[in-house]
Amino acid sequence: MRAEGKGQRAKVRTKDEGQRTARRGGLWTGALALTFALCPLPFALLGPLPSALLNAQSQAPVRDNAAKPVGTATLSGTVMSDEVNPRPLRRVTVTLQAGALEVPKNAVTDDNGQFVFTDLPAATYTLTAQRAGFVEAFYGGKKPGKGPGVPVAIVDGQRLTGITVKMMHGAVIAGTVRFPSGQPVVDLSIQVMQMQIVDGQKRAQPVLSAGVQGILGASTNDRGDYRIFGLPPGEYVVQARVPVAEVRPVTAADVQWAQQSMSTSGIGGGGASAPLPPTPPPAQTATYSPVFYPGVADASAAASITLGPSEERTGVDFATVLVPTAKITGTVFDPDGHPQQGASVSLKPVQADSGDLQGMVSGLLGALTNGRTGPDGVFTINSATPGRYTLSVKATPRPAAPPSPPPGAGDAASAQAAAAEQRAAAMADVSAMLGGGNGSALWAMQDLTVDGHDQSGLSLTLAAGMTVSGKVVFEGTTLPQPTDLKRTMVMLSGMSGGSSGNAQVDQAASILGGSMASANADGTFSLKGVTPSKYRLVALANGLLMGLAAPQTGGWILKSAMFNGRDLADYPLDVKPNEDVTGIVATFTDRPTELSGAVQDQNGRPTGGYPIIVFSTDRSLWAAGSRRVQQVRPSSDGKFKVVGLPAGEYYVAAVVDFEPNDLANPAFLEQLAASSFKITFADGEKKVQDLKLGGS
Amino acid sequence: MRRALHGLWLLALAGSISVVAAQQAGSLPLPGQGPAGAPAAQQPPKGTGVILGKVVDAASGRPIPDAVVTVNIRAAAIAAAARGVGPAPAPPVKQLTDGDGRFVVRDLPKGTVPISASAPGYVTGIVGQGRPGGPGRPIDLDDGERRSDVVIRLWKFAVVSGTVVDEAGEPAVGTSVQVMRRTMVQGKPRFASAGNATTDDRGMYRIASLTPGDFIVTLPQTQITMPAAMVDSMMQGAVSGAGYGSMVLDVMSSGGPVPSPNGVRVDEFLWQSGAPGRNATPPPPPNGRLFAYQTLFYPGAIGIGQATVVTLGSGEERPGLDFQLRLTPTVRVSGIVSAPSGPVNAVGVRLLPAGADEMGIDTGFEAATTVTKPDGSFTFLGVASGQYTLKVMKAPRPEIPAELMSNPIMQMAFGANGGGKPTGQAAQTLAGEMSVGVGADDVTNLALMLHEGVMVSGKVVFDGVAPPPTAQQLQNARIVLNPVGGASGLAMAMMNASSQDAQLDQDLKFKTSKYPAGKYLPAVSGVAMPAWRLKSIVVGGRELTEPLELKDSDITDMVVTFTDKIGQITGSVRGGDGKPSPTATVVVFSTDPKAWTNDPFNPRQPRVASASKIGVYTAANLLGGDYFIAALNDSDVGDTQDPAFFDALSRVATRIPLAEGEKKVFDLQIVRIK
Repeated sequence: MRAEGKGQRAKVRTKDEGQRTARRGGLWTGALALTFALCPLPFALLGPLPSALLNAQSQAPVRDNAAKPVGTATLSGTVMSDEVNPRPLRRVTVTLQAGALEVPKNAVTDDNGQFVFTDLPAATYTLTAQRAGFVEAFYGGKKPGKGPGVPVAIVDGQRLTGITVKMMHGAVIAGTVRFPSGQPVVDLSIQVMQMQIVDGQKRAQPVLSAGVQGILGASTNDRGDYRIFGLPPGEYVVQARVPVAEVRPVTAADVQWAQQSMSTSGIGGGGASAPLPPTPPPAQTATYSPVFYPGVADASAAASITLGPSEERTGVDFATVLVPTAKITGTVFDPDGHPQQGASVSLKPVQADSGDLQGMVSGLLGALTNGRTGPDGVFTINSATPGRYTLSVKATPRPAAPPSPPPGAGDAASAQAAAAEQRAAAMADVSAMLGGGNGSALWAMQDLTVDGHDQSGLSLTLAAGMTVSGKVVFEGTTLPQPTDLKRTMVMLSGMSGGSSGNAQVDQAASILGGSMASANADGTFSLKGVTPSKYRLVALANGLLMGLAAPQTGGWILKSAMFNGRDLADYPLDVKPNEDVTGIVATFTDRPTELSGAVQDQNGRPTGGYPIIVFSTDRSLWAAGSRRVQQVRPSSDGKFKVVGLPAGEYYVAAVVDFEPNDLANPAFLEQLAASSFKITFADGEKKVQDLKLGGS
Repeated sequence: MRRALHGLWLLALAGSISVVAAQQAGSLPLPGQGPAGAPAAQQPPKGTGVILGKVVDAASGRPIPDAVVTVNIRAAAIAAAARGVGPAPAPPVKQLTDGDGRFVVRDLPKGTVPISASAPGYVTGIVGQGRPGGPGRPIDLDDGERRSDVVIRLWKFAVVSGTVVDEAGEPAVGTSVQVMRRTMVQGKPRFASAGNATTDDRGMYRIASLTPGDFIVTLPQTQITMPAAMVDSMMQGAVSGAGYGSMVLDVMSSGGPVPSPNGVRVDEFLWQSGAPGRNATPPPPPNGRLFAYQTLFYPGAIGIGQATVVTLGSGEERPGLDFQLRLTPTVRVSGIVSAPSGPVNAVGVRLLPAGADEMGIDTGFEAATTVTKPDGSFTFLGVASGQYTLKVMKAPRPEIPAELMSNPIMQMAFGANGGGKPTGQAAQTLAGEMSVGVGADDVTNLALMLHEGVMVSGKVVFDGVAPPPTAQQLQNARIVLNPVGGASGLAMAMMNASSQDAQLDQDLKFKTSKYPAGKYLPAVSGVAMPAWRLKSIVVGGRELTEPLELKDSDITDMVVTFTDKIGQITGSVRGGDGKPSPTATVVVFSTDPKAWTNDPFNPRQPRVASASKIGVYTAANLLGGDYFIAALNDSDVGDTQDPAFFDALSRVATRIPLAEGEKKVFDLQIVRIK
């Protein structure tokens, strides 16, 4: 590929830089690139699992994963459009998934909209359908684009035919984005967010399945036009992020000054000579803030757009907003009061009032994007936009005696030492990013409000991170003790980072931002470098995937995590500065409680149409993500099962439908309590409770 | 939901990797401080010069508001930092033009001032350009000079648009459309990506980032065949704790498709034709023949040779470049990949249209990709008839750093005892290719033998009297081999990532890692030595004038020579009126047409020098030899990547011999190419 023209040449140079980067970054950079690439399968599967953990959707049968049964069942059906006059939809990808640890199966519809799965093992399957431009369909789901649907139970040798999946053509939002001057904004990333009620408040949440565009939404073309399609009906806000770095707008004063300079310059164009007029103050640097339709930077002032089914809404036009940027400088000191070199300093937006996924991701990356302190402990953060932030500092304690380069070794040795230090710091960052191994970290944190003015002279003193330690205990009756205790994971998920209103996004965020450790061979565990905050403790046996799937697969599950008489599996752990947490006892059981049964409709027929919600009678345990508030979807044969509820008293209710966020809404649960019945579990107790729905 | 979360991880990890890598290499100017231990960012030199300028539309002359103007007098410092010397300077402040397209630069020191401007919908431009993407002319400012006549002209991008429907006439939503720029190199077409888009819910696309030139428009389609057992074993590795990362590393370091549960089951394979819900092909008939979409070139051609070349000028819009997908009957192509040590497991196998690599087309244009099973066997499903090249190129599996293996996520990926130094085939560079003709029937029993890569070793010589560079100046020096035509980008990046070698030792000797057979452009990177310049790269006693071809044996005698005898030609340029011309460009190029390239190993690359405002030029940094020299009006300077330009120029140029290290004065008259 030859370079051609200026623009092309620049690209070639970039490529060269990339290669140099790769070379110098060395092996581990490659390795990371790999972890990134490794993600698809396990993380695709991890996705639903955290919610399985939180909500214990335990409808999937217990399965032995080692043996691949040869299936004998068949499932077939048709995908139809959701129109007044339905028509079959061709080339739809239909996906069947059994337990979360199973590889999903795909089929494509033919010209008559028909699909067939053969050789299916007996299992309970969820069925979804995708076609670009259409809203993803969850079989049996009550609302377009929203799962979960009704799982389909299949037995060996069954020939299940006549399944009909309806798909709705997606709605469209289209418009044009311009600069204040009227110029179109090109290559602008547009994201739509859906307005939903969370805890009684309207909140914007990213749309996670907007057709082929995915979470990144669309980009504007050369005319500033964008078009986002495949949307389910609902209420939306539109957000744009302008890919422009910090700029200094040219002001009238600048131009006037320059014109005066020209007119006072020496006669005959000889240059120099006449003194320059006094320079105007430099214009405030600025950048384009993320902006919401109809052109506001503040999310709360965003206008929402209500889309009906398959509606095409054009003319959603808006202009960008230029906001001032500021430079933040300060000094980081070690616990002894000496300047700390190489500390990573990040400015993380306070997320509490935002469902902005991209912002959140950039916030998570903050630690890596904002740079490090120099030898004098000084850091500089450029281009900070107005907003509320947490200024967060992390550092690795330096060795007691800094290694002085041997005489004569010269610059090369010290350069090597610096490179080694840099590598170690970068590794620690990456490891922390992946959710573990903070080691003996130092930390400092400060709230910061940025308002467009430069701020200097900030001073932060590092403190040692706390250690949270204890041991894991396995109370077994049927399962053998795990042979490899190192595969037992203890995680602290941050609770301070606010909530996007989406359990999975929050879970990912808390894993990314929290800390994680493996138990030692003797069952003790120790999480080091924990910064003060409120955490939820999660412990998993036999590795992440097996641990998360344990309620479904019959593995070890956490019964309690006791600390000072409090169960950290139910209540948050408040880690305070300078106070290590020791003596946590995390107890696993192989005898989880089990609530199972079948749901019948008014006519006594099994039905999968009504979700069941099980929640503690103790209102202090109604927090978001509580393991004592769970929901389950009965499968098509009406059967349901909830595994692993902690001992205690619970309400049980069947509902017509609900939003996932309702489980975190005390008002919803209170209302539901009135129409529930109570059930009590002792440790390891298994109860069967059939439900017959009333006539109302 | 699953996909979304997965996307989040990808984003987070991808971001961290690139940023961390850049930080590590110190090659990206960081928003804050430089890397640990580096002194504070350099301040630019300060003076009293002033420029009041304007950004305008080249066609209409109308001012462009909200253009971003970058004045980069720190360019030299940045270039130095990029070479690994000196700290990265703070990024230059960008200005946003006012409503009249104006910008103001002050505190300028004497010297040249490179100014660039970008605006939505326009090709990024530099001051003094006469055509989009053409050479610029930095402002040459005197001490304290004030100028109000600086105009940056910007040219609009060209636009292509159209609609894609499937064989039934329904919009083909989410189809990937790619525009390739065509250039002619020594009479043969070569293609490079110039823009891409996916179709919307109406099947429509619009690509508007095209610098004027010649283009083809294509809908690339790759049929991916994944052994189902591989996906199962990946899942089991994740569940059991044994890990699955090494296998995926092997696939990726050979540019193969990453295992994924997408695709429909066909026998023991998962066949991905299109993506879930887009460009999906009909369900496979029981024991029947698969039908698939093939890569199409506008106006519906199967081969790139039949593609219609679309020539676009600045701001030109070409609508109506429409496509209709059509299903083609296909066959299976299968065989075995082995190396001298035995069958090769989990290696990516790629099937490319014959001759694609010579046209600069590789990754992304495979007709089909797959991965070998443990017995080395592979099967491509969905291959249409045609001529292909079967290709395998595998880099050594990278070692996972021990520091990261304590991380639980890494342990999940690689197993508790994973990572470590790869051994056996995993540690080897292996490559091989063969031609495959596909007709109406299945092709079976192909046998592709891979060969281990070869290495290049040799030495660097400093031929002269100037003090040779110090060890510290050379610590980042590397001998790099860049594949001609790009090869498999991923595989090459991996290969480079693992080459900690190719550094110079105390005796200035070097040894590269192993490279697969093929043609390479050798280059020396990571050095900044003002007193020295490349004189020659000699292999087998002969100076390289063409890309280095690696075959089946190591090269042990490469000699890279630097000289301190650096010549220059300087003089005045006059126009037809006999007056000094401040708007002339002087081109100095070898009398040997083989040196009319910008290949990094070519020490006699053509030089282009701008006349100063008093009509004086300096062509510096020249080796001894015979040259052509010619002065042109700026607007007559053609494409300096195109040998045809030099050929035409040689007919009106003056021949000038230059001795080694000679400083010559030579006055010129502006000429015109006939």
